[in-house]
Amino acid sequence: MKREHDGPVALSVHEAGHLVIAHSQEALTVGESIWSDQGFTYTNVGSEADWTKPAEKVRSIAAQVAVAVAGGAAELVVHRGVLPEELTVEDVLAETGSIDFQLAQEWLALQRHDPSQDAIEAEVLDVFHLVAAALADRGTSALVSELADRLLARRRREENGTVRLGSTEPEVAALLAGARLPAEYPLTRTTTANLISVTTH
Amino acid sequence: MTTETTEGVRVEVLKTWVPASWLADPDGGGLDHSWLGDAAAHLAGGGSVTFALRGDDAEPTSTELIVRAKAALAAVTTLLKERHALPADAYVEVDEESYGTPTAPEGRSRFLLPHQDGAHSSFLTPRAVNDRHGITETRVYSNTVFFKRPSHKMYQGFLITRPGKFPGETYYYDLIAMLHDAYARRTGHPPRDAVELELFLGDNIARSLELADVHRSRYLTVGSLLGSEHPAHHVLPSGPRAESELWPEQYASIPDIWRQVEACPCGLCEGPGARLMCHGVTATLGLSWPQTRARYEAAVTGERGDLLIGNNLTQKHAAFSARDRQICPVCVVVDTPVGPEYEAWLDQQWTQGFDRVGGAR
Ligand SMILES: [Zn+2]
Repeated sequence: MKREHDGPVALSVHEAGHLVIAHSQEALTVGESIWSDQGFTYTNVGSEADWTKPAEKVRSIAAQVAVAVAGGAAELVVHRGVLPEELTVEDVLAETGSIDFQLAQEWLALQRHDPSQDAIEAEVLDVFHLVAAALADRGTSALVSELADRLLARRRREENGTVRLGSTEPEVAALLAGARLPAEYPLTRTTTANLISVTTH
Repeated sequence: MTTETTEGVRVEVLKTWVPASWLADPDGGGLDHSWLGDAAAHLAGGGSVTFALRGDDAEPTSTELIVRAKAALAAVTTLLKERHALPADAYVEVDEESYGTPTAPEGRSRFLLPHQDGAHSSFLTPRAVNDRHGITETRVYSNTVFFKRPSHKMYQGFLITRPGKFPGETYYYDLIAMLHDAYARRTGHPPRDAVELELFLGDNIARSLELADVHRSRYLTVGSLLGSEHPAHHVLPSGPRAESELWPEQYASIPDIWRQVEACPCGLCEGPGARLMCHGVTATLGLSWPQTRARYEAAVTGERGDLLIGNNLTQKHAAFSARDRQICPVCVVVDTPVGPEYEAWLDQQWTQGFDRVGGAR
């Protein structure tokens, strides 16, 4: 989802990026990408993770962060063909837009009470680089483009309604099944060993 | 409709300098001290307390300050149980020291909007006898995503171990006073007794739970507690910071929310979170967010070594802090907020909260 989008083609690639990365994440389930009659795009993502288990909680947070930055990464890598190297937080914010960036940040902040903002921003930057590198793979880029084209075609066929691209539609599912992507991304800057314990008296 | 006077509407804050002699030997120092008794009575009476724990030391270490904070809060908790009906199973919960303060991306500071700590399972509820929705069976609002432990935090607090680039401010709001005013505005007359306010609050919580699939919030907001029927006012921004965005799923499920975060009724609020708050309080109190702050807010400037404690249920708290501020959260909690002792404590909170705002004036 992006407030500051640069036209329908970029927006369709943005949302297809969310869909592809969400589908690849073991810790998550993905429903559909929506292009609403209000003009925004959105991809439904769910998780069954048990947050009382620290490792499971971290894995689901890492997956959510990867999905959150995937729209911006797809725009950069797939839509504009840029292979990112040394990006700054400002660069990543410009690609993802403020809503997706803060979604990634919010998931990271849920790892513990009041983590450091410096660590959060460094983590978002790291995960963005990893996701962008994964999307830069030729086959993956082609997959994102293909799904983006389908979403955009539906938008153009029905200009005033809400259109959807569901991950379980047979053709979409077949395309997604061919993707070769990491099933999880590591977090290294924000995790703490002591996730759910506190001292009590 | 809000009344002219602000008497009884603002939370009173007491600052207590904990004597160096007690800090040197808290166990030997015992509980029979007027500063300790006064602080416990002030907390029990609906106020907030700032304990200054620096003692005679120029620069106590953060570890030392955390030890002092635990000791002071343990002593106050014991007195609250002995003298002020705090349930016997209440205990002190100490978190780890924070690493810093999350802001909006690249922000240097943040305004944390009014909230309750651990509010997925810690919020003001009616007494069980005045609950017509079954809310008080568990007193849980959401249970899938939370920071640490699903304890019910009755008093929230934190020790400032590093103020950061500038001294932060913490703000308290008397929720019962706000409920009183929202009720009066909604019905056209002030509540006759606390029971009417409890029924009003219970209806508002039930409404927010019914709308959960639409607003997707994990916490009750000021707008939802005060009875707004618009799902946008049940949405809490990330953080929950004034400067922050909402979740994509919230934008997706409440299309009207786009318009609300882009402009607020007063035109003065900065940030999506603050503008949404402005809509919520305008709908329920008839006041903009700046006007709401002017009427209800009590402010405390926190220094290093200050332990700020307030009621986490009858009050909401907010904070303006530097990005590099560090704190250690400490709370007084129970595991399950049910049973006769909890009900007796809650009864006291409602009765005196209603009296503070002038009862049936
Ligand atoms: Zn405003």
